[in-house]
Amino acid sequence: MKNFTILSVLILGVIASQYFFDLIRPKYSEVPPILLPVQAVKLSDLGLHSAVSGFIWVQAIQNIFTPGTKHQLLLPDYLNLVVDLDPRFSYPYAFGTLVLPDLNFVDEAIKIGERGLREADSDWRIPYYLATTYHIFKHDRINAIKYFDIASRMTDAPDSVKRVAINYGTAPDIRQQTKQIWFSIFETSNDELVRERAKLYILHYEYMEILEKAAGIYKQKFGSYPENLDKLITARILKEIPKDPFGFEYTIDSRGRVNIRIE
Amino acid sequence: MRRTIVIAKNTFKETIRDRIMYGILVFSFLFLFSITVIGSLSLGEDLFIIRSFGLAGIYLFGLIITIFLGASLIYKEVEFKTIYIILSKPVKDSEVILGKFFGLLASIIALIGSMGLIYLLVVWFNGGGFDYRAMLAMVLQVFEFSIIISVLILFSTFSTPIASTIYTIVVVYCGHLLSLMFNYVASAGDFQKYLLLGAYYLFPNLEKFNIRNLVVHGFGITQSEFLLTAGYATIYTSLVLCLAHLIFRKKEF
Repeated sequence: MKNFTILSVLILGVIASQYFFDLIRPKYSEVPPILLPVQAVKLSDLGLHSAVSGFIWVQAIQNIFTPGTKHQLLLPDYLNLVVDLDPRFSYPYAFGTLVLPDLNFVDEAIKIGERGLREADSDWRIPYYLATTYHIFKHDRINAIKYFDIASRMTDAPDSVKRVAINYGTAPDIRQQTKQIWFSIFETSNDELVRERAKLYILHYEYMEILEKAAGIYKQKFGSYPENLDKLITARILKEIPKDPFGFEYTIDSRGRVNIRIE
Repeated sequence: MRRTIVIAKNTFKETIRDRIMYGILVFSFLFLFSITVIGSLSLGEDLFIIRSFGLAGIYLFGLIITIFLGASLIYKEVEFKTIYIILSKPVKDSEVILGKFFGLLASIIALIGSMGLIYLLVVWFNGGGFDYRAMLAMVLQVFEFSIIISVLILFSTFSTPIASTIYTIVVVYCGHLLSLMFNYVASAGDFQKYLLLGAYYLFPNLEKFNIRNLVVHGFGITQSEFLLTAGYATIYTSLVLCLAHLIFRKKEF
């Protein structure tokens, strides 16, 4: 009984001291993560390159890319380390190609995508996302067509992707085409982050379509397109202007085309 | 032959009863079950992470247990004087060495087998089907460990367990670096070149047994590669056990 009491008191003492330590510890500023050179990692990992590559991939996703983290600018370096350790690991190439442009790393995205085509296991997502990046961020339809074609010929590409890839360039306008591409990415990805991103893009384009339809109704009623979008509310065509998922402000031109305001 | 089998059986029973080994084994099982959680953090690449981490875990835990069990194999017998009891019987020195080797190898095969079973179940339940290529990786791992066990027995004949452990870790580490070192041969000076070449051919090249990086991507190896690798392991193990025998014979008991 005496031993039990002493042990219980000591255990409580350990828990209490840890609790109060955490309460009073000053919040030190976050130290940026250290990225070792690939040769140093290869020298010390006993040949377990793919396991270490997987570990760094999980770290990159959980600590670098998660919203709220401060070190998103390190994502290209992390992705390069992952693929240097295991060049066949295909998903980081696809992920980097799709996601890096949003962090203003468009050229790095294209570089990683093209490397993935050469070195990774066959994965339709690499050429498909590369084509998407060329289409959206470089407005380079020639390279977009080229990589969509490669994606459509891959045996593991889903039918919806093949349809979009083969029909690239046939949609009446670029916005419609882009929305189809994001829709196919949303349907075919198992990755929550990528699906969330695709959903935001789809909403972005759908809100623009809704506003243009509303502008069309306004023109039928009043004979011309509204000078600004608030007139759609005062004319009781819309209850409110939808908020753009990326935080942009919508504008309308004299031909009734809705765009985002670029400062 | 019969005496070798008796010593091997005894060594197997002795190592299998080691409680610390069970502790490490339990940790390895917990690790293998937990890789499903790690896989779920990888944005859809669960199976790749589970396979990479699983095979790496089997290798690392297997290595820890092998070094832990093998470092004191011969040394313990000499220290506790039980070697006199063995050698007072009509048992040859070579039979002692071979018996110890096969006994420990059998234990390691049993351990890798049990970890491998857990791994295959985890992969199966995560939709990866039956990962037969991983079994090939584990077979090659057994060949690699046969070399490591023979090296441990060699060191165990003349050094303490701690020294044997350190020497073996250095040999394992260098064994995995040899391929990288070979890439530098062309740019090295004459003396360094021959030194590097000598190290490359004389040190155990353990990287050839490592097909984990291929297996996780669905690749295997050819039959001739497998046979050459197995042949290399057999010859190298025999060489090191011969050296161990020579040193053991010279010891005065």
